[in-house]
Amino acid sequence: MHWLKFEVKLLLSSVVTRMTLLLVITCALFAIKFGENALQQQQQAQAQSQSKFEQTLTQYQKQAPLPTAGHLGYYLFGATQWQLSPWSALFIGQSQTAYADMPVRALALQGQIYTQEMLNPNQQKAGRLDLGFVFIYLMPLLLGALAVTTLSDERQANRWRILNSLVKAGTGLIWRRLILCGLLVLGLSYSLLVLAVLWLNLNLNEIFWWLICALALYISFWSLVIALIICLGKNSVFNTFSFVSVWLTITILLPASIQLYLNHQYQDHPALAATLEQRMIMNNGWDAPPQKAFQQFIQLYPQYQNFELPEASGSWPWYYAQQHLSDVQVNHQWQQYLQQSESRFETLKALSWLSPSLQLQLNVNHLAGSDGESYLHYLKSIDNYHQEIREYLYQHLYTDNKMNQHSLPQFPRYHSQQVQSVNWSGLLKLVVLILVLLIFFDWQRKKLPEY
Amino acid sequence: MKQIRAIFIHEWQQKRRSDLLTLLFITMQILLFIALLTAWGQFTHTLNQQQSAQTIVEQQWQQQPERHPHRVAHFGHFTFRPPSSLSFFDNGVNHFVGNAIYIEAHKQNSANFANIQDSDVLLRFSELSVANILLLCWPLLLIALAYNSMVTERETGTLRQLLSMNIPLTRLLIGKGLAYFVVSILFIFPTFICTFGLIAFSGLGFNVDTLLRIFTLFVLYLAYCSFWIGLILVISSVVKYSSQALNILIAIWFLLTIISPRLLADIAGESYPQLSRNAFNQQIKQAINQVGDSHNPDDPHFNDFKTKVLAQYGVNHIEELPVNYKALVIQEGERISSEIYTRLYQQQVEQLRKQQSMIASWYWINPYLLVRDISMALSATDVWHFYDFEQQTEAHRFARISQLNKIHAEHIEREHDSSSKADSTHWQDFERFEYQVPSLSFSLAPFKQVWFMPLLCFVLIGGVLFSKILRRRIYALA
Repeated sequence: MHWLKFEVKLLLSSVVTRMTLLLVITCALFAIKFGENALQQQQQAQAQSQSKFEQTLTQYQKQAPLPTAGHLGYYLFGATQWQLSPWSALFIGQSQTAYADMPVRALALQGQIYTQEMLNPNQQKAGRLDLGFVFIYLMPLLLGALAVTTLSDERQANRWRILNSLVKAGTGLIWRRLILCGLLVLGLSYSLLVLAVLWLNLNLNEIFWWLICALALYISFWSLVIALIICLGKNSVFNTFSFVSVWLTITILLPASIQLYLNHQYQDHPALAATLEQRMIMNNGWDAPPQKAFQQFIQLYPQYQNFELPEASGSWPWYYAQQHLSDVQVNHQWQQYLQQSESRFETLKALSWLSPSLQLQLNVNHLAGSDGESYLHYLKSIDNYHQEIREYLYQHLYTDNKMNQHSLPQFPRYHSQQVQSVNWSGLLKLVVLILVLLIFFDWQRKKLPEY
Repeated sequence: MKQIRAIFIHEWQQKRRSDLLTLLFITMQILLFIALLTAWGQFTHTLNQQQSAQTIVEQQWQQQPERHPHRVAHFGHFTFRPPSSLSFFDNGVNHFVGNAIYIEAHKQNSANFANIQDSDVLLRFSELSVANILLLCWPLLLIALAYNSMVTERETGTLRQLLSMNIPLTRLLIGKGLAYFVVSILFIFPTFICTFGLIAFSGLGFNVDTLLRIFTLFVLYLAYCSFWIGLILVISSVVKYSSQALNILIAIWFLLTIISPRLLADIAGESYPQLSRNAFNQQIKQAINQVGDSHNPDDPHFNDFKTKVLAQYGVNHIEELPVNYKALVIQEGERISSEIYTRLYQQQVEQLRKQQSMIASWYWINPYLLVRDISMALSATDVWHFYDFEQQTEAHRFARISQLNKIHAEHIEREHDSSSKADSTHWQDFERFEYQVPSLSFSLAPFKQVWFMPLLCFVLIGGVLFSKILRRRIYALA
């Protein structure tokens, strides 16, 4: 084990290496702290929304006379929460930018569902710092800084010839050194992961073990990239440039190009179209006879066909029927919005073959339940909750059962559902890429010049 | 001068011989053109989409039949923010902000429909725009071109020869620096020519203001290139080996362009937090409730208001008023909510201003941040231009709703308020929303206090580059 001590000492002898290590660790500590704060703030905000909702409902119960169903549907907003996993503190995905506690009321959903959170766009443009960023973007660079000039430095210092003659297979020494660098970076990643787990009191569940495997595969991928560059047998400058170019392409240029492609492919804005149309339908309804809307409404809710609609225009029963009809008539656009978003995610997933960094980023966000798909799931759950609120109110709007002390507390509550699944098959792509690189490596290493 | 020219030509020819660098240069140029043309396509698409959407909503407004004005106020309207004419050069924060606002009575909505679906995953380093290639990738290519420019002279022993021939070090540095400056001009000039050509020949927003913005952007990016050239020459002069120069320069590039922008933005965000949408809406609601409730017959504010109105018209009862009192109350409510919204909105903007000042305090040491921000400002795509759109929208909303309330007051009788309607000709008298693109002075206003920072940076690098300490170090190493 003496050689190991010596090799580690050699690796850490450079000031630049020590500075880089310090920088990566500092970034990781900041990332964990920022993630923890952001998640706590978000959970507090969600709890406040929920308690505000309960408080308003309690106030209504004390009110005399009790509010009518129409009044309740207009003024009472149900609280919803995008249930984020504690892991989203480490892999933020869309969790800090999406509207995670959207209030919803019984009016048309299409006028509410596209509301966005208030954000600082400058901060978003800068790109947020999370532990995922440190693992996915910084660790490969650290590995590159440690290992990419392993052979070329020896050759440039004229030590390679001596080394090669002293050791039976000189190249073995180089690969051993590369493996050591890989293990060092992997060890650092694992230490940071364990630190984050302890810091945030995360469970050592399947997600943890998935991350352990994913990080090992990811570092192996980058180690193989470095190995292939070393195999080219060029000088340190060439190696450094090649590595930085590969890193730049995989982490910046490819994802940005995919974004350009997706924007080009999905240029329709069904959300905007739905909002514009829904508003027109709702307003045209005011000019039509109230019975017309109600007739259409009872086709959807035949259980209320015996209800006698007040003749005066603008009554609550007509109003909610018209609101719902405006939603129904733009439903195709809402479905198109959902399908388009899903299709966009699918295309993105398919294209992530091109960049392992993007693959891992998508996978960890999915794991933390902070990805676009999870948010879409949250939007769908708001849709369901909105339906529950509407149908709860309909029981009082279109029947003789007026709101009473017993029925008011029955106002529906949002039940958050956490979408979280550990997708082991997501690692397959990385395994395939590694196998391909291994074949290349095996073929290239034989070409490595002796001197 | 002759010596500088000779050094310049020598450096130029040396770089031209490298096939790898030529290939990288050409690849980067192709990338620039792809980014430029794709962004142009998106810009024209968005512009057409926004303009046609604005026309549709204006038509929808004007085609309304006779209606009660308050119903029209709830029918509402939309304002759209057309992309600025230089947004295809630098898209700034456009991906992260909405560009349509629904305006209605009693309520201020924010811009929605931002294109941020998967930006958090794909745009961790921002999008592939011309500005980003120039800001991020070109410095890296400059490093590739010039990192060894001084250190190789030393490694090969030519530096010692040059110095022994009495060639001043200053001229050597100027000659080499000039070569890379000309390469930078060659790199960025075609992009600017294309940018100019696209705007000029498409006829979209071409005017003196745009011309000035393009010219200032060109000067800005040349200054940015000069910073990197100076920095590369300093590092290349003070280190012993070329690989050492390369490692240090890549580390600096990484620190300046990748790490520090996000770290600073997050620290600033933590130091001056912004309210969430729910908290902001709650704050508005509470502030409005504190002023008064128009539905409460005993409300002190609205009782005072009533007294004032009666005194103004010289009558004793609201029934005697020549206008509809109900509409006056609605307008008073509108005035209160608009004032409160504007005040609280400004508080939020102030928080962001503090965040930005915190970041700006690092401009002098990290010109990437400064150039990034000025580039967005000149392209009218920074956050202040977006807030300007939201503020113009609120002004338009208030004017539009006030005009409706005036129709309500003057043309709808209080006694038959709910069953009355105003004539449809009224809807033709409303002004169309036209987003007024801010002037160049507005765009550059946030940089009034920091304009000297790049100068400071240049003085610093220039000072180091031509200092005695550096000269001594070079002589010592040679």
